[in-house]
Amino acid sequence: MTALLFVAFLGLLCIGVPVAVALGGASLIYVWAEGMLPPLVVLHRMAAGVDSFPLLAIPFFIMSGSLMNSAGITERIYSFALALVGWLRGGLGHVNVVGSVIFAGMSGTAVADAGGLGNIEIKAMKDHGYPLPFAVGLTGASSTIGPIIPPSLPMVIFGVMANTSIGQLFAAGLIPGLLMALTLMCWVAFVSHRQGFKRDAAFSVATLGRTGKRAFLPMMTPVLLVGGMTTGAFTPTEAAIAATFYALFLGTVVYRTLTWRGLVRVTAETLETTAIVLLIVAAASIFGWLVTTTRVTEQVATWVLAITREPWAVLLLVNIFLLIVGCFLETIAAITILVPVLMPLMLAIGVDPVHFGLIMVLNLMIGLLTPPVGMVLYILARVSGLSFEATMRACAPFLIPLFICLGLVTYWPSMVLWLPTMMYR
Amino acid sequence: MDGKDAEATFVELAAAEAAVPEAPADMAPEDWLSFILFWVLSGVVFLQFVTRYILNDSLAWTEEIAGYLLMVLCFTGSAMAARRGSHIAVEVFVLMLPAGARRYAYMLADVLTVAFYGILCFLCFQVAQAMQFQPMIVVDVPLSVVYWGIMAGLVLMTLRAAAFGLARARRA
Repeated sequence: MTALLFVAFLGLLCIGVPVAVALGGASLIYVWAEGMLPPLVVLHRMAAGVDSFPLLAIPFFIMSGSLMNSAGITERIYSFALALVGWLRGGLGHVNVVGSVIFAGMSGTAVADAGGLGNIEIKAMKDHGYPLPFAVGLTGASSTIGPIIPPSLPMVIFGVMANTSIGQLFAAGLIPGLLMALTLMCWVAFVSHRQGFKRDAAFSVATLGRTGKRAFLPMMTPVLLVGGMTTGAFTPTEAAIAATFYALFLGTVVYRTLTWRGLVRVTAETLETTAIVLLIVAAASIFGWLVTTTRVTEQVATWVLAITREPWAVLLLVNIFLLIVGCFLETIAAITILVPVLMPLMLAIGVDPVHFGLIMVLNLMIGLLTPPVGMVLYILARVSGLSFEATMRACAPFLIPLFICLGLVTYWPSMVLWLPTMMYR
Repeated sequence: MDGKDAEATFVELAAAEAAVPEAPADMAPEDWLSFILFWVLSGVVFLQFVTRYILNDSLAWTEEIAGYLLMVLCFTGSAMAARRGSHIAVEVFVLMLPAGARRYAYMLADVLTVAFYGILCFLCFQVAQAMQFQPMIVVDVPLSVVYWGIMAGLVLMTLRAAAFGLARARRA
């Protein structure tokens, strides 16, 4: 009977129905076939699965990110980043990374970062003589920092599915996110040295002060969000709503760049994305519940632990598995399906749920840059005008620094867990 | 430096982006319904935020109502996504099929999707009726109101998914 649940799910998924329909449909078929529960439990569980306070953060994080993107502040942030790191060799490459880090503190998805910033990042680098594949690959790689540094949509979903503190997950992402930025900047420095890239600006304290002043108000968003959430002053949902209203204030009162039409468009896009995510979460909550009651997850844990009981080897296997899944499945879908399956295994080998959250999200972010299903690849191909294959090849070398980060995040738990234990003792 | 000022490039690119006129958004009734629900939800959550920090005591009804609004919004928003055909699916395997077979695969997927949404409508009707006399926790309103809202979203989802499936079948 348990097999029916999984066979129905995989069958539906491969036919190409939406992930939410595959999850909900398989649950419905299982409930019917088993005959123990009334079918209306499927709908009731789905609806109840969305009724959670942490999930409320999702529309507001998406909203504040897109509002900031469309409020004409991108240029202020980039000018500031240019004054900060543009004087290094391969200046605009470093600016690309630093800009992504700052935006990572305002937006919660890699796809939004690649779509919102990709255009300006790639065009500027191309204008200044950087090879297009380098610009495209770097933009893709730096967009994966977005969901590691708080706020982060995948982390919210992980926290809800794994019943783990989202505040702690956010705090855990800060240092690994900065580490990723550092690793990417080392990579940029290495490539720039080999290819002889130039500096793109002279360093001047005056310019730094001038651009810093212009970027001050927008920069307050990441400062407030990241600072407020990692210290526990705000809950993620409160931080998200505060950021949305702050972005609205900047767009309508301070910079006056936000029009009614713009607001309608941004709201509609936000709600569409939110609903797509929430419907998957809703369907996953009935599916996950059925999976747990069948105790099949304990069997999975026993099965893996029969191969090896070494935590490092189990983590290696899980990483490889997640990378493969990340190639085929979209991030949110993968998290909602796999958390109930993998969590017992992780607890059995003594991996902290917060640490596992970071491992999982980073794996799936790397999956955004790999074919056949790489959302970021599709967006970058559209933005840059390169073919899908060329975009893929452009991103490939950047997998090296990302894999280095993945190794560090996986096997250096104290780096990940230091900040959350400091803040949430 | 290669002569051109990088800061000027950023200003130029940003200006070019801002100069593109905002096209009127493509809004259907469910889009406006979701739009209104969302801004009411924002107001409610903001009220809770303000009351917690200023009055040191959040209004009890805000958290409950916000949760219900999000539940309804999930389904009306899903109707928006169904109209645009943007719900996330794994299409790799379908795309591997030859064009003729792919068409039937799409049709099968659309029929199954519409059937599932349709069944959910029916189940939601049952839940709403069962909840008729069950009040909400803080507010004295029957919980069925929330499920009627969800059902409205589900009905729209079913119709939009059917329309999308028909359009795709004709196009292929």
